[in-house]
Amino acid sequence: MKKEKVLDAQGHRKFSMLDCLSYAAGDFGCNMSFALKSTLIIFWTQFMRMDSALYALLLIIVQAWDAINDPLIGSIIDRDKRKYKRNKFLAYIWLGSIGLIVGGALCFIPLQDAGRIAKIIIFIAGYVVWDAFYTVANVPYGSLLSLISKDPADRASLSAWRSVGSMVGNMVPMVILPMIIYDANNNIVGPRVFLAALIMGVLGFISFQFMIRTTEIRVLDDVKVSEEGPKTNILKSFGNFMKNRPAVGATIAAMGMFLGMQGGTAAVTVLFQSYFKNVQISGVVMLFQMIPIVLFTPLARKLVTKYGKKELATLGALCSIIACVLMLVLRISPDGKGIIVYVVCQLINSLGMGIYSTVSWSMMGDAIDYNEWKTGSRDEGTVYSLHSFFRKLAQGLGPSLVLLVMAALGYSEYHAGNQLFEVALKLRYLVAGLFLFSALMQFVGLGIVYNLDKKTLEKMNNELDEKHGKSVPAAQSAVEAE
Amino acid sequence: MKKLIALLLSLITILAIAPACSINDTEVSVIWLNYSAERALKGDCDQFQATIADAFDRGAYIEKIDHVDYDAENNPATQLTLAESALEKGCSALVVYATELTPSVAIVKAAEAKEVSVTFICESSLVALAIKAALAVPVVGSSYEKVAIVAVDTASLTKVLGTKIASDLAANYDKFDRNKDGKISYIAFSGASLLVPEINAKLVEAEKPEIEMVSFTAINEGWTEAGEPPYELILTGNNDLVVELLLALREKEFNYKKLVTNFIPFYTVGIEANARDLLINERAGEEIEEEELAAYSVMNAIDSGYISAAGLVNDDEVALSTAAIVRNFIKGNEMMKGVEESYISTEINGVVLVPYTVYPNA
Repeated sequence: MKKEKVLDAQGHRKFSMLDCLSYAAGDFGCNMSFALKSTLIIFWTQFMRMDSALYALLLIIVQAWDAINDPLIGSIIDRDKRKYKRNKFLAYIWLGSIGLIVGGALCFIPLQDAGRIAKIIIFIAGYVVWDAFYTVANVPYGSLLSLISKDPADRASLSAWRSVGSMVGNMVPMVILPMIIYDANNNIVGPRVFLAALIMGVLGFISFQFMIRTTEIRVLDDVKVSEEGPKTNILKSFGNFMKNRPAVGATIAAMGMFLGMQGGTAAVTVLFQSYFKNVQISGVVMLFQMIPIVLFTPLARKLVTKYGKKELATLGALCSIIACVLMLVLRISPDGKGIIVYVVCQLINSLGMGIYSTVSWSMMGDAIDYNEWKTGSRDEGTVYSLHSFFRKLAQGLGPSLVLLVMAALGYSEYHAGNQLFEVALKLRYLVAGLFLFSALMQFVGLGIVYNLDKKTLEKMNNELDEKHGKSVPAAQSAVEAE
Repeated sequence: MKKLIALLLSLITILAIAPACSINDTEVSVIWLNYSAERALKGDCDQFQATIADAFDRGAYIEKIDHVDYDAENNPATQLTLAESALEKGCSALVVYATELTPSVAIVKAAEAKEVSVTFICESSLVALAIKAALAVPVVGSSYEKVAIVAVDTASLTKVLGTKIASDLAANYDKFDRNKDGKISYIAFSGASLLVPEINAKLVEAEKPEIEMVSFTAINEGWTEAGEPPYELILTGNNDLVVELLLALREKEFNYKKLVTNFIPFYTVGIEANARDLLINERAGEEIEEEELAAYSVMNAIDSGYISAAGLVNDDEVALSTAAIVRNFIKGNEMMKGVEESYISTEINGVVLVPYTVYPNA
């Protein structure tokens, strides 16, 4: 007997686990394409033998396009007033998903014998096409959440399940890919990367199709994907942003993370290739590193309530600093024992980073409240967009800068996965140094610059509540009266 | 919070300076015949020694041994001079890359006078036997106990590479039998025919026909007008002939770019051939960076699919064994402590024979 659809008062399918799984599938689909991005540097320098300095420059160029690409495609989608059978956003996601079947693979075309100019064209063209399709799918996907349900609890569930989809979409390739795309001599095998990208593109397409077919649109509001606000004076906005200590502090911390940790992804790969001579386990090691974050997340809310966000995040940064200093000074030998020491240091480091990552976006929320508290105006769009701008700047510059440092330390694309030991040893210290840099930036940003400790935050929230006409809790009033 | 930060910073400071407080008196002198780091970057030294030197850097680091490399600039007599100089400076151990021409007995006697150990690294087990024999000669030899030899087990090559070749042939017999006459014919250069008995023994085990030799002295002899070769398998020695053969095959549109040319299974017993001409030929007319030329090797030709496989010296194991023995000599441990047991020769005292492996690994 066919199961009857349970409908809500408006005649839509009642919100259920299917909506959560459906939405999670979307982020899984996005990550099937995005997960390979960390392999770009190794593929293009070691397999395609592109000069490291040249590649660093090209990376900056395409990342600049990345920054332009988002609002550009966002405004194209917003200006599209055509009627779609089901929903405009789903239609664009469908279009993006078609392109992403091959889009990811276009970044990994294994034409090793191509000339220098041809390689430059192949890289830029491939990246631009992939980026365009990714944005066409990803940008409306983010806005889709607000069309699935208006209920805050439902939206919180969708947001949480999006993270699950993202985590699974990241973790599975992270663990499996190194076992497939590197040979027994730790060299990257270009054709395998290309094939992996195609397979992941197909998996992503299937995932997107599942999402599109099972998404129930319950909200018919006209939601915009691009953040268009009233025209502002950029210099004035920047000046106001720089006076917002919490916003600046949170931004410094985020930039530190992108410049150091994420920028150093290639250095970590070379560490496993040429220092530990075991790149195939690098994914498993990174999986281990996620354990503290996974264990901490359920406790985050309780600890934040008890100790405060700034206090907790600062402690996390200190924890990371200790781990990274240990990574620098302890003897991490290029064998199994050394891997164990490295993993232990990374477990402690990722606990610190994990604490920060669970509170980072809410700290930006508090920074916006701070703006209102001090100046009377929230300037939400400006604060968020400048924060995003600096994040993207660091995200774009990080990998390129680190690659240049690697080249200066002797990294040679011609030695591929078997760099000279002398160079591998320098990169071992570079990795530790990059993680330490991230941890120090976080400490400076959150411990020194960010000035909303628990007490101040409470005071700010109470005063803002009073201003908005909300009642202050009686106990609070009594304490303040004393 | 301030007290916590102060405490943590103190702890970090202590941890940071602790390593600097330990005294390291284990400087070892390594005497190469034809290698220095500077010349290796230009591709201007012996590739085997360059590979072993890099692996030894790693092995020495694992064993916490500081070492200094010396380059005899391809003059065996200079190796003795360098060894004597290192002993005068007070090195704690000597590592010497040895060939038949190295004055090994003189080096051992000089080291014995200073009670310093000597560990020889040899590219072949024949050299190891020659050194042992020279040391065993009465009166002119030496019975110094602190002498060890780490050598590549040359005899293992036929077994290891022969098995690999037979396995490939058995799995692809029909495909490699180009003329479909039911057997694979081969041509061999530079002593590589020593592999044939092992190949045939394994083929018989796999119930496949043995390979048969064809007699041509040059790679481009005996080809048909249609451009088909008279052989279906090529075996070569570990020398620059590998590159000459590949370039000759390229002219016949064989063993070059996989998608557009034909392929004859091609195996070489070693990877030390100077492969620069291959890269120059591939990129004819283009300017190639010196660094890229220096780094290009037979392994790259294998990765590109021009060569099927090669016998490969297990440089990591040679280096790790050497580093372990040197550490044992310095610390007064039993000589072979930490050395892989299967490598330790049961017939000759103080000799480690590291077997070949194959590139690419399975």
